[in-house]
Amino acid sequence: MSPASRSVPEQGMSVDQELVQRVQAGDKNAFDVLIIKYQQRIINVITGFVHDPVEAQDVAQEAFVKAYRAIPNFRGDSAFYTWLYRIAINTSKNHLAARARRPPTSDVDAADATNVYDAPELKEFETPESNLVSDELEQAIHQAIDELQEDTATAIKLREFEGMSYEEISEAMECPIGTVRSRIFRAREAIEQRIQTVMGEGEQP
Amino acid sequence: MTANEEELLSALVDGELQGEALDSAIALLSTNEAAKKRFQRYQLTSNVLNGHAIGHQQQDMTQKISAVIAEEPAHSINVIQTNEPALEAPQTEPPTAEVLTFPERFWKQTVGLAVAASFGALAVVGTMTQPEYSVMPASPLASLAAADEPAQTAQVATQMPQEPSNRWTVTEQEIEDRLNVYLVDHNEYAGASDIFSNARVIAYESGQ
Repeated sequence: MSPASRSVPEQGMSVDQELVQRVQAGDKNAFDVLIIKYQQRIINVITGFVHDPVEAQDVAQEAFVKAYRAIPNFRGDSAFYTWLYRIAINTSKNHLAARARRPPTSDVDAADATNVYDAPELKEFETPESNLVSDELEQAIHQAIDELQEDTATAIKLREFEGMSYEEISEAMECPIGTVRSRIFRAREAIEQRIQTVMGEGEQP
Repeated sequence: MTANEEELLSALVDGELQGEALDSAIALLSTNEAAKKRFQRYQLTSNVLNGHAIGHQQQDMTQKISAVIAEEPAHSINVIQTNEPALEAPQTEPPTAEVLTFPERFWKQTVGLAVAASFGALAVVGTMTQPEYSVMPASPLASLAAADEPAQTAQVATQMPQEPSNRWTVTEQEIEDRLNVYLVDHNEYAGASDIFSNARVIAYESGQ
């Protein structure tokens, strides 16, 4: 694909807005992209309330379904993620309230009972195992970036760490937007090769 | 999956696709499972670098959610905006008059002000149509005197005293006396009542 044929985003129109408009127009596949994009962050938010990971996934699923049902009313006054975040928070609180009305499914030790709901929103569900995998993954990604050529590493760093758009990176690096896009893609490919080992998938493209 | 398609997914992670390119990416993700997994890993990498992946768990909720959503009716709001530049919009539209539209709140405030002004005008008109003095005569004799000399009531006037004082001076002695009686009665009543035992005694002249 030549740089000239590549799509340049319009000013003031984010890809989230475009995806939302597609969903509002009846394209359910566009909602899948939004799910993939935000599922990890939404689960992180929900695990601050619902500590059990399986339960948190159920609540996240419910939040996304609610978002889909309500998306015709989304007018874009706020960012889509902000809107989705509020739905996730409300769904989590409703879930906790409903669970409190149900009898406990397991015995709770009297000494621990007072600490169960002590500011759950301030806690995150982390286990030593999940932290270890997360640390290894992060380390592998940073190692992969360190081994990149300078231009490629600079492009992915400006994108991921500084949050710059392709246009801003092209101005900063004094190169065409298409080149920026290729460099970032090459960086992601190098990272992809490295993290497959950590993730134990070994999936071949 | 071709390198171009992979590059397309990389740009999608960065939110740099629009229009037909975005359509192509959505179509690719909906038909190619390998592309979907690749996009998820690109997204995971971005989440890790941005600190959004706490306790890495690679999840794919799309299948479960899509199964639920498949039973939902598709939305049909026609909000897709054209990517055509504004200059290519049809120029043959008839000219329309420029009409200033006021917000709904403006009209509510205007109506409220109009109602308040109407009540104010009624109050002023009502006051002006009342007799200037409504002090009733204390005795039939005074009443007769008032009836005999109707012009005098018009002459009763209040005027500011020459010396600095807090009271008004009534030029007609009879009215002055009657007002004093009213004032004394009022003060006595206020002093005798338990309800008004703590009320301040009213006087229009210091020392009285």
